[in-house]
Amino acid sequence: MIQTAIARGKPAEDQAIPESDLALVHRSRGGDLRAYDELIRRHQERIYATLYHMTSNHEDANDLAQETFIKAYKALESFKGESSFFTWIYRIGVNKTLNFLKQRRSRVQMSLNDLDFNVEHDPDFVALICDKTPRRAANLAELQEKLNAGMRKLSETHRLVMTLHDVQGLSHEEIGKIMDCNTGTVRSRLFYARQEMKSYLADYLEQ
Amino acid sequence: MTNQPPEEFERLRRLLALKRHEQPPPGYLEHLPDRILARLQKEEMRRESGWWQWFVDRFETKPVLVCAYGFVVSSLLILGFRVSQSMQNEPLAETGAQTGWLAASPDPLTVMPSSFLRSHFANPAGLYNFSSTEPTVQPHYSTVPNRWSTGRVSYEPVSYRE
Repeated sequence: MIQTAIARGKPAEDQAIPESDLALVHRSRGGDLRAYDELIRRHQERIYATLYHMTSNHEDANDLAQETFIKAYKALESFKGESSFFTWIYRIGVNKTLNFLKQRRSRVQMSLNDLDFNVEHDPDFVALICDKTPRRAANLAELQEKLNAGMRKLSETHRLVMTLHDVQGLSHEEIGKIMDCNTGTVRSRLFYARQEMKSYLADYLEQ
Repeated sequence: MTNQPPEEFERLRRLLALKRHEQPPPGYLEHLPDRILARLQKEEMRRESGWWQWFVDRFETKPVLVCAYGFVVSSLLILGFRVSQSMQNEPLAETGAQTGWLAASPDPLTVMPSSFLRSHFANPAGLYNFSSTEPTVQPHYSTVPNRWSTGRVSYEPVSYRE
């Protein structure tokens, strides 16, 4: 309690102000790997999650995430700062993943991560399973597999839009920057992706 | 088309939210930066260590390259040997001489011995049948003065008196 009170009473100037991404990029360009380490830690979770949702395979997502950060480090000189570092590295990861998926289209093996313990308390999910649906009692693992199988049936671009918007929660504008297209295209792709997904998951979505 | 009411996809959106709960193995994200930095440092060291190390490392990471490299080198060696054989066989083929693997070796019956052999061996052509048990070399007195032989060396008395 005392320690908490002391911590709360600390003057603001004593608390470390986080360095901006741009400053870390400048330091990384000079070979400072500690700065790059900080950049990785800031963005790895979202990058990994996107690549994982695109591939539905932990090992592939791990390889792609590593290659994304390595490629980004080598290409730091070309980062002009016109977009945020997050958008820039996202674009690298997405392009790498799209190439990867085109090359390995025939491979359909999934390696899914476990669901965390908070899933049963997620308000979105609770609202869904509390409705009177024929599949109300479906077990979570089955539902997870069905979701991922449905995602894999989508084209790469539709899957990407759905992942970035409906799973990651990015705005249409951000997605447009990452995919290098306008927001109209993003909305259109999202619509078709949802339509396709909805028909595939009809059993789970019936009222 | 895209102006459909958002409620239409509301249930789908809730279902997709389940994917946010798929988490990587515990500790994975803590170690990911270390793995990336280790790979970066390794690549940096490899770049500084020169082309030979780069060449060896490529073999380590891609064993198929070893087979491909071995195949290419072997093919080049065989090709080179074949080419040299065909080049040597061409003049012999014109004279009706033997062809094949022994074509490149000289015929001891037709090749003239060198002047050195002629001066040192009585029967140089007999070298064709030379063996360690039946030497054909004839004894020969050398014209070079032998310091231990007294027959050909003349002595002059030397006096140290003036």
